[in-house]
Parts: sequence; C-alpha cells; structure tokens
Amino acid sequence: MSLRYVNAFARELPYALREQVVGYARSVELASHDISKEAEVELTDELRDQLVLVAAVRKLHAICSTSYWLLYNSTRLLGDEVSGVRVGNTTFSPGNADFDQLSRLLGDLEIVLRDQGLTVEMIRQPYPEILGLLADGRR
Amino acid sequence: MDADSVSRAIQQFAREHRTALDFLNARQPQLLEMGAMVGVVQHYRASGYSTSIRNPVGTQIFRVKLSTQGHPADYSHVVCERGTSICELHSNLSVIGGRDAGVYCVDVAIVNAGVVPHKKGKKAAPPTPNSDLISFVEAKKLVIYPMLLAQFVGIVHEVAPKFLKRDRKYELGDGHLHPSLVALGRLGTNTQDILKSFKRRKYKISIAEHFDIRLSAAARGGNLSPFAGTISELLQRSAEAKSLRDDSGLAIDDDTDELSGIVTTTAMEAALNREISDDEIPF
Repeated sequence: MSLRYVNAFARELPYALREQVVGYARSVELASHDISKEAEVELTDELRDQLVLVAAVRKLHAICSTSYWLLYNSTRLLGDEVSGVRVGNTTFSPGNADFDQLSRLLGDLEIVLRDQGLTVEMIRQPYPEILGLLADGRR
Repeated sequence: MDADSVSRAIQQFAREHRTALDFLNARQPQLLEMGAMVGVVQHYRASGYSTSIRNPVGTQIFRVKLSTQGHPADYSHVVCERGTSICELHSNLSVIGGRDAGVYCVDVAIVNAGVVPHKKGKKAAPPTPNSDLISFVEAKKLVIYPMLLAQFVGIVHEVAPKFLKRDRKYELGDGHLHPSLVALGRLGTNTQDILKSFKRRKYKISIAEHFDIRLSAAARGGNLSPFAGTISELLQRSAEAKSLRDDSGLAIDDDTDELSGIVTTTAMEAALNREISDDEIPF
C-alpha cells in the first residue's frame, strides 16, 4: 500500500520522470523504518504512505527546479551575445513562450504545494524531521 | 496532511503541464550538458580569458550539440583567449583516445584553436587528434557515488591518461580546467574518502557536485568559476560579491534573489538541501 498516493499521480507523468519519481519514493519506503527510528516516531502504515508521498513530490520538485534554474542561469551567463539557446528542437530565450512554460511549471508546482499546506522548505528537510511534522499533524 | 488531496492536486498539475513535463522527460540530461558547457565558458571568463561565442552561420542562437551525431559547424562553439593562450570549447566533440585509435565523444571538449572544422565539407568532420585535446568535462545527472567516480577515472584513463600521472610536468597551465565531472547530485556517503585518495595519488581531475547550484552562484556575479572550491565556499564568495554590489548602490536587475534563494544564510541552506532529493540514501 505504500505507494498508493504516489501511483495515483505518477501515472500522469511521462515515463522517464515517472521512473525517477517512483524509484526515489521506493528508496525512501525502504529506508522508512530507519527514518522512524531516528525520528523516534512510531511508523504507522498511513504515516509511511504520507512520507513516501512527500518524497515523491520532493523528487518531482527537484527535477522541475533544477531544469529551470540550469536554463535560466545558462541564458543569463551567456548574456547578450546570444538571443537564445537551442535544446533539441526548442529555442529558449528569456520571456519567450517555451521559457515561460518551464517557469510556470515550477511556479505552479510551488503554488499547488502551498495550497496543500506544504512548502518547499518543508519538503526539503531531512526525512526524520518530515516524519516528525507528519506525525505532529495527526495528533 | 490530506494525502489524498495532495495526490489529486499533483495529478491535476501533471495533466495541465503535460507539454512541459514531456520536454523535461526528453531533455533533462541535455539541459545539464548545456549547463556544463556554459559553466566551462564561465570558468574561462573567471580565469581572465575573453570569450567569444561563435554560432552557426546566420543565427544568434546558442546551439549546443547534444549527441554524437552532427557536424560541429552546425553548432555553437566558444573561442577563449588570454594573451597567447587561445582555446576553443565544443560540445559533444569526437576525439581520438589517448592510448589507441578509439574515438570517444566528450560532453565538453577544450581544444586548441582552429583544430575543429568550422565549415562543412562533403565528408563528416574527422575526430579531433588527442594531441589537440587540452581537457574535457563529462556531465551526469546523478548523485556522485563510488562507481560513477570509477567510471569517470576510467574515461580519463582512456581519453587523457596524462592527468592520472604523478609527473608534475602534466600540470595544466594558463588557468585551464582539469578533466572534470559535473553532476546534479551531492557527493555520496563514502565518496569523500575516494576523492582524498585521488588527491594523494595526484590525479589532476575535479568533481563538481551540485552543479545547478554552482552555476546559480556563478550567475550571481563576482566573476566566479562554478568549478572553483566547495559549494559552501562558492556560495559564500557569491554572497560577498552581491553584498559588495549592494553596498555600492548598484541595483539588482531581476528577481533571482527571491526565486533562487542562494544569497541569505537560510536560503543557502535551502539551496544546499535541494539536491538531497536526488540522493540514493534519502536521509
């Protein structure tokens, strides 16, 4: 049952991203008992499922964030000498539609997290602390 | 936390952003290769070189070669010049190995000026002779784990074995970058011991973990090389450079501070934590 919350959204992701997100979530699932020991929190099935969900969201956010910032900082460092960068068949320049699309991807994901009571700061914390927060939320 | 609600919200998000996610699905490694190329450009700028970007004829678009296929003339390259030292940076360039006639394709090649054809002929571009390869960079979107280090050393062993010799005469001068491994993840659990061992063995290679954060720090200003020092040192120098600019009354021209979060102490910690989500050992 551990991946039930993850699988529910991961099936909407393209294959390679899904593999990364689910694979990472599985690695956290495998480590969940050690995490609970360190957090000194009793691990229930529901808590473990929530922890694994947070891990999957964290991985998805890392993928979106890393990709956007690599692109943003690359265009910034190249400066005015170029009008954009071409990756595959897509040309990115600050402000163009493709660039904005990646910017919105990251921004909208962070809005979704905020609306759900999760913050980027929270999901980036060490897992024992996340588990503690999840446990506190249930009390 | 309402896990059902979170899951449904992310599901809806994934549906709404399918096009962008499809792009990342296909191009995530290539974005890192592009970042590696730009990072090398920045390294040479920080080392006092003037850099000149040469795009394919008729375009101002920086076009990075992202596979072994294609002629170098169809892609951008960068000419770096400092006094009498001139070199060129090429992406995904085929080079002849350092031990035999094997042909290897390195993600970013630093080569002597003028050795890569800039015009297309009737034949495919020949691989660059090993003697013209100054150095190179490989990019991996992974946590740096022992076998990745071993693989990289293996590549250096075949492509540029001189950097694994203890002999001092193989030290690169002119601010050139040693063969480098660029990765998105952090250094894995026991990689520090391996890196110390590399140092004892006088391997002239560098490992740039958290490269997205390194590139962010370099982009903040201060003319920093994203390959120089540890992440903490780089972020510190970047923060100091920004502080100096702020003190001098220079305006910040964008909203990067709020978004990238690599300036304040708290935000530095957050930036450092970001890639932990790529870790194989998740806590």
